[in-house]
Formats: sequence, C-alpha cells, structure tokens
Amino acid sequence: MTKNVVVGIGKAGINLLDEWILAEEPSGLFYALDADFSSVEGSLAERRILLGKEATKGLGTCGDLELASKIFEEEEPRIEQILEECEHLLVLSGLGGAMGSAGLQFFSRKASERIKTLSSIAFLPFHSEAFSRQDTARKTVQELLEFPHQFIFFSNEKAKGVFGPADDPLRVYRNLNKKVSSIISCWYHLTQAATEEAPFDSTNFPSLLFVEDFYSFSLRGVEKLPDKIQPYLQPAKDVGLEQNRKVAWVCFFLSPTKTEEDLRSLFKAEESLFDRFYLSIIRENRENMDAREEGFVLIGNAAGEKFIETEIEKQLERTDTILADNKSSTQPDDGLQKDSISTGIFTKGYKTVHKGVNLDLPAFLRKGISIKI
Amino acid sequence: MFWKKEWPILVGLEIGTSKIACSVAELREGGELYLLGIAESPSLNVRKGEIVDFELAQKSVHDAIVEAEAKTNVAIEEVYLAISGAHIRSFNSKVVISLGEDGDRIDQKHLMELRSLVRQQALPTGQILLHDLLKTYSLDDGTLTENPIGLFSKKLTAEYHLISGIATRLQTTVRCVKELSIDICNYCLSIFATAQAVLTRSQKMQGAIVIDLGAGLTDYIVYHGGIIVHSGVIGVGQDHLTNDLALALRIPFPQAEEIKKHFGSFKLGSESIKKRLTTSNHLLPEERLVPYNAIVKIMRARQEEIFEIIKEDLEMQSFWPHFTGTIYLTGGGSKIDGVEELAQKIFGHPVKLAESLPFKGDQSYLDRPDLYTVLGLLRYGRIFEMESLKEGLLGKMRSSLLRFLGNIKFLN
Ligand SMILES: Nc1nc2c(ncn2[C@@H]2O[C@H](COP(=O)(O)OP(=O)(O)OP(=O)(O)O)[C@@H](O)[C@H]2O)c(=O)[nH]1
Ligand SMILES: Nc1ncnc2c1ncn2[C@@H]1O[C@H](COP(=O)(O)OP(=O)(O)OP(=O)(O)O)[C@@H](O)[C@H]1O
Ligand SMILES: [Mg+2]
Ligand SMILES: [Mg+2]
Repeated sequence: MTKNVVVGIGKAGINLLDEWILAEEPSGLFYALDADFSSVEGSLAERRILLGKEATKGLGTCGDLELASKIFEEEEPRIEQILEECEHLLVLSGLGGAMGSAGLQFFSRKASERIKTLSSIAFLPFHSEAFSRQDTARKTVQELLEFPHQFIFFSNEKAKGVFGPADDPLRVYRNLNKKVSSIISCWYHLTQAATEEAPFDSTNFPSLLFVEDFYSFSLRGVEKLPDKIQPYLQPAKDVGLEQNRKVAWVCFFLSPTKTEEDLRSLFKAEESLFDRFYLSIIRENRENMDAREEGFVLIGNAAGEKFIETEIEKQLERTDTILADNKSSTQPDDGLQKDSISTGIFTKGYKTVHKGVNLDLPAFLRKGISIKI
Repeated sequence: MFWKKEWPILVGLEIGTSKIACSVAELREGGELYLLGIAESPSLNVRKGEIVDFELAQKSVHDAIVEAEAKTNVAIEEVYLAISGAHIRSFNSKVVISLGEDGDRIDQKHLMELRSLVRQQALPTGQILLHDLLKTYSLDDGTLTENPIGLFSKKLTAEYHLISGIATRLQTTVRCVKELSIDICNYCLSIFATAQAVLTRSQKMQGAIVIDLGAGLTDYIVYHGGIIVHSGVIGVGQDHLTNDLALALRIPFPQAEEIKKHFGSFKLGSESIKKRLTTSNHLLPEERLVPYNAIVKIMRARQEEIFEIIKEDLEMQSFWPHFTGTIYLTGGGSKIDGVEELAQKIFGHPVKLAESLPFKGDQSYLDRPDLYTVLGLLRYGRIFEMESLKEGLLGKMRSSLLRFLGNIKFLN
C-alpha cells in the first residue's frame, strides 16, 4: 500500500503537479485527472486518467460544474483505486474550474467516508475571470466547509503583481506554482515520515486556510520576519468569508544538528501575533545530501472552525422550522441531512449540535487527540 | 395461567435507545412495592431516545411487554411511561398572585391558582409542558416555605421548575405504546424517574446530582436542599463512545460495542508497559492488535466532553456556587471502569455510583444501573396511585399532555 498519493485535477491541478515533479523529481504515485485530453496528455505524472471520455470527447467540460460532478460519480470505479491504495491524499486543483471544483468535493467526500486524511491546495480565480467561475469557487468553498480536512486556498488575484506582472496571468501561474510546490514537498515528507507514534493527521494543521502571504526563508533570513508579517494581518474576503482566525504555519527542513527548540526560539515573538501558530519540522533522511535549512511560512486566515459552526447552526434552524411546520413528520427531511462527514450510525436521525459544533463527529478527531492504532 | 388481582399492579416502561425495559410490581399494604419482575428486549432503530423506525420499535415494545407478562403472570393494561429526548428543555419560572391590599390567609385555592398560572405560560411553538415541579413558595416578607397554607401575606410567589418537550416528537413514543392497546397512566421524565429509584430523602436534602449515562442520551437532574432546581438532557450518550471507536478502528458498530463492553475503560495504562490487546476472531474479521491506550483515549475524549458540557450548564445556574452535594452516576455507561474518577476530576465534587433503593420480591435488578429508570417509574407511579386511593378519585388525574396526545388522530 502506498502511503501518500498526490492527485492533480483539472488544468490548474495538473500544472501545479507538473511543476512539483519538475522541481523535486519525486518517486511515488502521482495522478493527473481531467476531462480535457490536452492537459492529461502533456502531464509528467506517471498515471494519467482521462475522465468523461463519452461525455466530452476529451474536450473538457468548459466550466460545466454539473457535468463535472456527474463525470466523477460515473467514473467512481476507475477513481476508487486511488483511494484504496493510500492512507494520505493531497489534492491539487483550481476552484474556478469545473473539474477542479467537482473533483475536490468528490475526493473530500470519499476521503471522509474512508477516514483517510486529505489535504488540498486550491487556487481561487482572478477577479477578472468570468462570474460563473467566481461563483463555482464560492459554492465549492461552502461545500468544503463540511469536511474535516486541511484546505489551503491561494488567491490568484493576490499573487498578481507579486509573483508576476498583473497583465500576464500565465507568468503568475507559473511562478506561483513554483512557489507552492514547496508545500507539496512539505506535505510529502510529513506524510512519508508519519509513524504510529507520530501520525500525520490533517486535523492538526490549519484547516480552510486562506493564504494572505507566503514566504520562503532560510535560517539566516529569519530575523527579518516580524515586520514582514505585520502588514498582512487582515482578513481575506475573497470568497465572502468574514469569520477568520489569524494563523501562521511554518514548515521547515531542519538539519540534524539543530533542535526544534532552536527553531522555536526564533519564532517566540511571532507566536503571540497569531491566534494559532503551527510549526512543522521535517528531518530529511537523505544520505550523502546536505540537509536543507530552509522552509516557508504561510500566513492567513483559517476561516475554518468558526465559520463551520455558524453554518451548522443555520442548517439546524432550518431543520427545526421544518419540523415544527410539519407536525405529521417525525423524521427529519433527508434533504437536510446531507452530512457526508463520518458520523457513522448517526448519519440518520437528529443531529446533536452544541454551540455550533456537530457532536456526532468523533470527539477525539474534533479535539485533535492523536490515536495510535 | 392465572392473573394476579390481589393488589394493584404498577408497570413501568422505558423505550430506551439500547433496550426496552418493562418493570412490574404490586402495590402492597402501606404502599410497599413488591417487584414481580423486569423484562427487556433490545431496541431496534431507536436513536438518542427517539424512535427512528416506528414498526421495528413497536415490535420491540411488544416483545418486552409480552415477556413481562409471561414472567410475572400479569396482564399488562396500563403503564407509566418514561419520556426523554434531546428536545427536552427545562427552565425555572416564577408566578405571583396578589392577596389584596390588606393581605389574606393562604389556602389551597391560592396554590391551585398559582399552578394554573404557571401552566398557562407561553412555551415556544410546538412545545408542550411535561412537568411543573414546585420549588418553593415565598411570602411578601421573603419567607420561603414548602407549605404556606394558613400563613398570612399580601402576595404569594411560587417558583417552579418546568420541563417541556416538542409535542410531535413525544407523540411518536406515546403512539407506539397506545397502538398496542396499552394505556398510559402517566408519563415521567426519565431522569426524574431515575432519581426516585436511587435517592433517599436525605440525599436529596444534602444535595445530589444524578447523571444517567444512557446509550443515546445523557440525562441529569439536580436536587439542592431537597428540591429539584435543575435538569437537562444531552443528545450524546454511550452510543457515541461506540461510534467513535467504530470509526477510529474502522470496524462495524456491533464489534465496537463488544470491544467497549469487554475492554473499555477510562483509565490509561502506564505508557511504559504499553499494554496491547489481542482481540479474538469473533470480534474482528482478522486478529488484530489494538493498543489498549487508543481505546481509552477515544472513549475518554468523548466522555470527558459529555461531562464538560454538563458542567458548563451547571456553572450557569445560580445554585452551583452553593452546591455541596454528591454526584451519582447511573445508566449502562456507569459500568465503565474509571468513570467515577473521570467525573470527579471534572466536577470537583464527590462522585458515587448510584445504587437502587431496595425492593422486596424479585432481586434481579441489583447491579443493573441501566434498569434504574424503570424501577424509578414504579416509585413515581406509586405516588399517583396512593394519591388517587387517598382521594378516592374514580379516574386518575390525567395530565394536559395525555389529554392533548389522546385527542390526536394518528395518521398511519
Ligand atoms: N495558480 C494557478 N492557477 C491556475 C492555473 N491554471 C488555471 N488556474 C486557475 O484555476 C482555475 C480553474 O481553471 P482550470 O484548472 O482550467 O479548470 P479545470 O479544473 O480544468 O475545469 P474545466 O472547467 O472543466 O476546464 C481558474 O480560475 C484559473 O485561474 C495554474 O497553472 N496556476
Ligand atoms: N459493562 C458495560 N461497559 C460499558 N458500557 C456498557 C456496559 N453495559 C452497558 N453499557 C452501555 O450502556 C448503554 C446502555 O445503557 P442504558 O441501558 O442505560 O441506555 P438506554 O436506557 O437504552 O438508553 P437511553 O436512556 O439513552 O435512551 C449502551 O451504550 C451500552 O453499550
Ligand atoms: Mg480544464
Ligand atoms: Mg435510559
């Protein structure tokens, strides 16, 4: 069984995957999935799957989200093996696109049904892109709120002018993809190094993180960080989310001579600037190789927890009014129980929600208690 | 088979999430309860104390009643029914009447007036009043009393602990019983019944919280200075412990239930020993090593959360800073090793496993904390029977809920 699998979906996802493969030449299983023949064909991924051949004749969905969802459902048997053979899954995609959006939702659902960890890196459209793409992205984010996975969102709009000239989207893509590949490397090492004693659990990472800013750094450059961080402590309203927590995630490849304490002490001052501060340290075990002493910092808003709570509350209110209106109905309307998170036997019947938290979800997962099984 | 007719018969019925239990007792001379027997049948498709599949649930209720009849040689015609559910709400309420400018001597009529006032209180739509439990009366000079009759005052205030629930959801439970041609003498909030089974008058005076760790629900009730000051129901129970285990170990629910009952505990083993369990073939498809501490952590995470939710609720109540009593645990979950210590750690009050007050007759209830609710129903029923005997009423007093539910035409 392969431990960790990276899946690129749609043009954006496959571009990003390819960029990483180019940079790292990793060994392992990587998949390129799309309905568009041109993007699947050119991918560097060893496993390329053209989806919905009948439906689109290899031409792609042209932004049709409904069609894309249907394709994923119909192709489930072909995709299933990806999930079967791994423990941890990383999904890469662009959220304005139909395939990217439908695919991320599909894998999120499947992963939570099978209790696999899922992490994802997704791009949000430029503001100049079609309204339908913005809408697709927004809807998808709303759907993803249901899942206990780690979602990291990068706004293409914010990258404009920073990672490439405002009038050249292709260069923005390319440069942003290059930068973002380091996150894939980080994920890859963390999942690869996971053991029974120190498991990888995506709930221990920032969830629904809207990245505001993103730095690479080496140990020597670390001192400069604080003033760099300050200006970016504002909410990301890209997808209309108001609720947020200021979060930083530092990921660092550390040489064996340095201790975790050394690194932590460098971030003493920064820790207090954030509601949450995550630190991941990677010790590479590559023989005859100089250990890298570099890493990246992601700063942003983990819209996660708070937003999920209010969403569930709203849903519950709806259920209650329907129940009160419909006296003869003793069963909750099934349409409202679209609960695809793993709640086991509690998928049927009334949900238990307390202060906005769905208590039917496993307590140890919600509390981030690591369980060695 | 002969049917006993010598003494009035009392029957308690609980449609629990995990089992349907039916208790039968004779009400003997001097109001002594003589337990004839208890029957049980597994609940099918009851979740969090509420019926999900009506037909299946009704069949289980039928089975339990038939078994109880066979066991005790009693034809069951009417029952005292335990009622619970996550939709149950409780709150305290005050009502006042004026006794005129110059004051008046308080009599029974005034007390009735207060009671009817509190019953008229507006509840949220769809809710119906289950119990109005008197806390205390107070006079205009601030005197608190349980019995103000004969005293003189210008106004009289009564404080009640009110318990309500959503009518349509209660209706399912009531209908499930009535359709079997069984009458409901009265119903009782489950935890209120449970408290009657385990608390003596003096324990109630000293202060007591009873927490029922049921399969689908966790119910609690608080006695402070002898009166009920608070109660609550949470839609999280021991099934959640099992469900968490099933999801974490990726095994079916029934297997997780077995593991929980056999190996479950809230006590972590010492980290250095790292005790591991080998589960045998009938529990898991293949032999698998399951770390003992993983099971403990999963169960603890859940039970701790349940206790914490209760504690948070208690902390918001005005009695809490003055509470000095004991916490009593009942229900199936109270059998788990280490539950007292865990509760003690969270509540910071002494915790004990509840014990049933003694019964004459059948003794099979001993050590069965999951049966205390149906035992309590018998004690609750006794109060009603004794009152109606004493007052020579023809029919027993029916509550507003039963009148309400009795008038509903059930749709099939
Ligand atoms: N950062 C980045 N964003 C990209 C890249 N390619 C596309 N995008 C963005 O990703 C979003 C989705 O576009 P595509 O990936 O082309 O769509 P798709 O998933 O193939 O879905 P279809 O609609 O079926 O073509 C758009 O909003 C693009 O702006 C890329 O290489 N890098
Ligand atoms: N020895 C045991 N160890 C652990 N758990 C147990 C044990 N015995 C019973 N239980 C658990 O207790 C629960 C049943 O308790 P109980 O019979 O009090 O609930 P119930 O009355 O059916 O449900 P409710 O009152 O919530 O509707 C089940 O979840 C069962 O797994
Ligand atoms: Mg495309
Ligand atoms: Mg019970």
